[in-house]
Amino acid sequence: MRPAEFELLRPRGRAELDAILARPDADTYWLAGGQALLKDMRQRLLAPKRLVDISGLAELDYIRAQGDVLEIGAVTRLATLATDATVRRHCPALAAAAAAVGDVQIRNRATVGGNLCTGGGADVAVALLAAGAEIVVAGAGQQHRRQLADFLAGETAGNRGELIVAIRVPAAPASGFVKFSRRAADPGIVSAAATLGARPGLAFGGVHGHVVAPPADALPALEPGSAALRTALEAFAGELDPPDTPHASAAYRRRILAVIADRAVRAAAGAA
Amino acid sequence: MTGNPQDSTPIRLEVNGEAREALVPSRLLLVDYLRQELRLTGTHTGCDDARCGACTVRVDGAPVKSCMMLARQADGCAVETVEALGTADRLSVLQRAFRRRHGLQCGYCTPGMLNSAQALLERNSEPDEAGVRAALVGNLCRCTGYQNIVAAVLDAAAELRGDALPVADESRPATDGDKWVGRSTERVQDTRLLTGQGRYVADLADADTLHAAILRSPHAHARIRRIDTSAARAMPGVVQVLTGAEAVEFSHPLPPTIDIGMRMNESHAIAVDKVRYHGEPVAAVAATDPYIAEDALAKIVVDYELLEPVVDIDQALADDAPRLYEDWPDNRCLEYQFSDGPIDQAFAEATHTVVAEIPHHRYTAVPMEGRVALAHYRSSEGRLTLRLSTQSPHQCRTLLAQTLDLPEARIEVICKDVGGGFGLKLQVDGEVIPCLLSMRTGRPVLWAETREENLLSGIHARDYCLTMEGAFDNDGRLLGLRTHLLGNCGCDGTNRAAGAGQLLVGAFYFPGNYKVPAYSTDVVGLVSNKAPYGAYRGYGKDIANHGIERFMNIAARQLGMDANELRRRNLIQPDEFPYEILTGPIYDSGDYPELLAMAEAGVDLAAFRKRQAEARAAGRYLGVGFAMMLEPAGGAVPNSIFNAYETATVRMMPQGDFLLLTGMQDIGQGVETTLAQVVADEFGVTPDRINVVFGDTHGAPYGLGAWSSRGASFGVSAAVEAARKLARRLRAIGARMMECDTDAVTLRDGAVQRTDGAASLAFRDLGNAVSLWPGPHGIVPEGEEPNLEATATWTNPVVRWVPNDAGSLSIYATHPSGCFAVIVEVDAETGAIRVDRVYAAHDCGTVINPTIVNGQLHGGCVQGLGAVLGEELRYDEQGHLLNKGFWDYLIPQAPDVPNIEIGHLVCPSPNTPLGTKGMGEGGPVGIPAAVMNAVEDALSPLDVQLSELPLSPERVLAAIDAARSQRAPS
Repeated sequence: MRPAEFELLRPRGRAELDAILARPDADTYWLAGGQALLKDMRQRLLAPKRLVDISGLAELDYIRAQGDVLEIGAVTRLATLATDATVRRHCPALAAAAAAVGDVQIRNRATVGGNLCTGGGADVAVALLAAGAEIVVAGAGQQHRRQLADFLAGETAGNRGELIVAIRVPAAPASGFVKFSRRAADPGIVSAAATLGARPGLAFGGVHGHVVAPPADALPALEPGSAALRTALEAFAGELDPPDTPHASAAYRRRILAVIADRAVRAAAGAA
Repeated sequence: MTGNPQDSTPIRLEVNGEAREALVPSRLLLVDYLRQELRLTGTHTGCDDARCGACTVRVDGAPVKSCMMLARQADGCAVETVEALGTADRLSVLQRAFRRRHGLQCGYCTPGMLNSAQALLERNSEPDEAGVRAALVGNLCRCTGYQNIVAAVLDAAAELRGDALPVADESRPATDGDKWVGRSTERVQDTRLLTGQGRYVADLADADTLHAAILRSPHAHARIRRIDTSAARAMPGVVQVLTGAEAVEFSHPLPPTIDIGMRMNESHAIAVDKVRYHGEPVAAVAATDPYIAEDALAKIVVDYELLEPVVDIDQALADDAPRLYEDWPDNRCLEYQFSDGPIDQAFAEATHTVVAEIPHHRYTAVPMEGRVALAHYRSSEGRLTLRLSTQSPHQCRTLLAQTLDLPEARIEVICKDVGGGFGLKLQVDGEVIPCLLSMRTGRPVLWAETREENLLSGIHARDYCLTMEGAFDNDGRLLGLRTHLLGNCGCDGTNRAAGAGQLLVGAFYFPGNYKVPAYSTDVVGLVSNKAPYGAYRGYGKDIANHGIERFMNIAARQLGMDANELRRRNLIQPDEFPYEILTGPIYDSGDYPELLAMAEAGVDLAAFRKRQAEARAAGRYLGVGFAMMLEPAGGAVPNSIFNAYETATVRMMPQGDFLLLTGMQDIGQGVETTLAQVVADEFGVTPDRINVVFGDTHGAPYGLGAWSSRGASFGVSAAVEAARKLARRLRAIGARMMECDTDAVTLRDGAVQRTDGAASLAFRDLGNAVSLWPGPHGIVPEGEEPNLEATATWTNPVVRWVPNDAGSLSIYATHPSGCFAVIVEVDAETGAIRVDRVYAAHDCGTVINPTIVNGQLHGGCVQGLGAVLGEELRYDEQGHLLNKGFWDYLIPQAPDVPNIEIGHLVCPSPNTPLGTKGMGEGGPVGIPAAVMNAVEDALSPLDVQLSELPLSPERVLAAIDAARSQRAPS
């Protein structure tokens, strides 16, 4: 199938983008890489009246160090994240997660901001959440920072009104990401990212309606093979509501969560 | 594709180096801009959800999927398609490597594959195998198993670096002197397929073509109360809307494909009053544009009365089950029993009796090109021209003539390039719909199914439950075998497709490669509210093979024997051929113990066992599994479109070159090349002197096409016999012209030559003399036909359609065989399986083109891996199909599979003129059992037993859990 009709706006710079942001409209969707949105539109699951194509905005395509934080423009391609030397040093889990999304062609189009909006299977969000990232959100006449965790728990599929323009990633040099999937290019049945060091973090995709992190105070030290961690995560898994899909039941996702977490911790330890 | 004000801004881009400016609608996908507007039809589509990669182009150098990008997003970009890579007379290094390495079969995925590979080579001059596989993960190929594609990319990288090319390491049988049979010649079709110049059906649409879209039932079982098409009809651009009730006013039901004791139902291309599966067509639209046709579907309102669905075998069997067909007494479409030999005595005297239940899930062929038909009915002439993606153009024409009520000779079916078949494209079902729409509009109508349509309604296969009982003596010798087979045939056994027959093939061949002195079987085929049941690479050979090869391992475990030792004690021995089994098939030739030994040696079994023990000590689970393989080839089914002959015509042109006209169909398996090889040998010319004409129902003799691995028996043998007939005449004419005896001449180097070397007559001179200068009088000896063409029909010499007292029959010409060995590693924490090695010991008799044969094995084995590990058509309790795209229907991707290692054994068949047997189905037939046997071997310390398929990590982990809980002290 092919998409239903829509109006397409292609702002040529930040000023034109801000003008669009100034008049929010519930029927307007942001089109970034389009690898998820156009897919839904082709199946006619979505039929927005208006798309705003931000994929070509150079102002939103950058990777910049700001002190201890790496700021990444929202339309930075996943292919860039996967291979960028700075990203790989700063947060190896993020590079690994970006490399695990889809395939070469998809990563050449898909953007980091767009991926954050695709829901429970967004692997990049797993790495970013484990690293304690923030997002920068632009709306009508203003721009603010928000914790990624709050965004993910809220309107993950929401694509209207406001726009993620950048992601801010604290340094997480000892971080690792593992995706467990049926085939190499499939979304993770369970994916996990671990950040070791001063700001430890653990996050999961595929185990709940959205990407989640166990509360930091509920976690023992992140060490490979830790029995205490396994016990804590088994308890955490019991509180989740994982999706049931033809390829993996909710019970199975709960069952392997701790196994994949341990592998992510090992990957993080290996990166350190 | 009505636009909006924003569309008035033109896009400016560069396509293949040429500047373009265009006004395009916002929703126009880049792929449609390239294909429809620019006519760059080398870029293909194989799915709707950015998974298959056939549409891959390079945008500013980076490969992207042009189906998931708007044309307007390419504004300001440089787009490169396959057409930019190289041309027929100047292929790129990469294209040449693909041709040399046989990196393509049907060629449909090839343009996308080339673009991904080209981008890799531009950024990495030294990729390794894993790197190539990772770079190609977004490009699905269903034919090649990726192996030769990966080899081609590595070759191209080496050539671009200036390195010496690696030597091909494939096992190649020796060639016989200067014969073309036995040589790995490059394929004639590859140059056009590699340059985007293939002619697949959808490529042939033009501006006048209407585009069909089909509205399909969202329900599994429902009565159609009312359909309102008025809003759809009123839409600008919509030319025709057709419901089933309207279609039956000028068409007939779909005729049967096989009628050998099955219960027949009436079915139509568009449902008339009731739908019987999720996805059944209920209305169709023809519009000036595919976007508008799809818009119109949303405007059709259907009022359904929901009925209780029948989904699985147990439901279909129940006495109080809803009936799919109200005039039937139950849901049984097929019942069959057979018994011969002292079966009760065998079980009474057995030392060991083993009973096993062996279920198998539903899956399907998914060629990268779905079903496509471009119909043009010209009412002024009463003629229908149908461009069809098919495996059997002649029978499709016969079926259409009945459904459309047109004289068969006024229907022309033309089929050039086909993007894979694997059994899916043997009949007409949805393909009827564009014909109906064209008859109503008088305009050409294209239907190119979406991947969702293909998965919903493209015929499905497998989906059965087998119970096998074996009686063994004290030494593990089989005394008797009883089998009970229940098949879920979906809504239709043999009308929409031909599926029910595969249950009978299974029943006939359960004894497999073994001696079974007493045998009984009973078969029940059931209709249900699932998609139609048809052929998929195996057609029941898979049922038989999977059953007996799983049974051998299950029995060995119960008998406390090594499974291969149990196999060896029961295998038919090489001195016993021809060997007739109780159900009637006559196995023509082979050496099964040698195949098993080859497979064991191929994976170095002793060394593996040592490695396995070491791995276990380290907590890793490695396993090896074996399965013998029997691939009855060249079926000949009475009362069916899968009949018992093939006809070929060979014609020498006045200029001395040749046409071979055949009803065989090239669908990627390369008959265009292999038929030229065998005919070339008969005339002593090079294969490029033989032009093979196929897919042309007006030009070629009535023939039966590509199925049942029949190319190398029926197709080749008909061509050889026609060529021999003409070759005899050429010798007689040449001898007369050179004034010598016929015995004193031979055909060599494109001439009739006197064996004493005294004279030679070039074919060109002979052809001209007979045909034109002067003509036949005085040139052609008396008693010879005064022309230069010959037609021959080959039939199966061992066919026996009259049953004996017990009911046995013989319908297969030859019996290729093999043995597979698979090595896996199982992750016991998650249940994930990694396949490390696949070795195939294979006997298809005389090998015509080793590279093509090996390519078939690579692709077939990988399809077998997909089937056992990932592919599954899963229905929910309401009969809704859950896997409707390539994100959910898990065919293998390049990094998921290993290279397939091959060893050939050549036991020529006595039944064919060249000793060929046919091949191609062996992988999907034998691999699933080998993988299951390997996984059980890996997990043998835990005593894990597998049953349900596919082997998802979840199922494997559940089996591990079950085994652990059994062993845990109570």
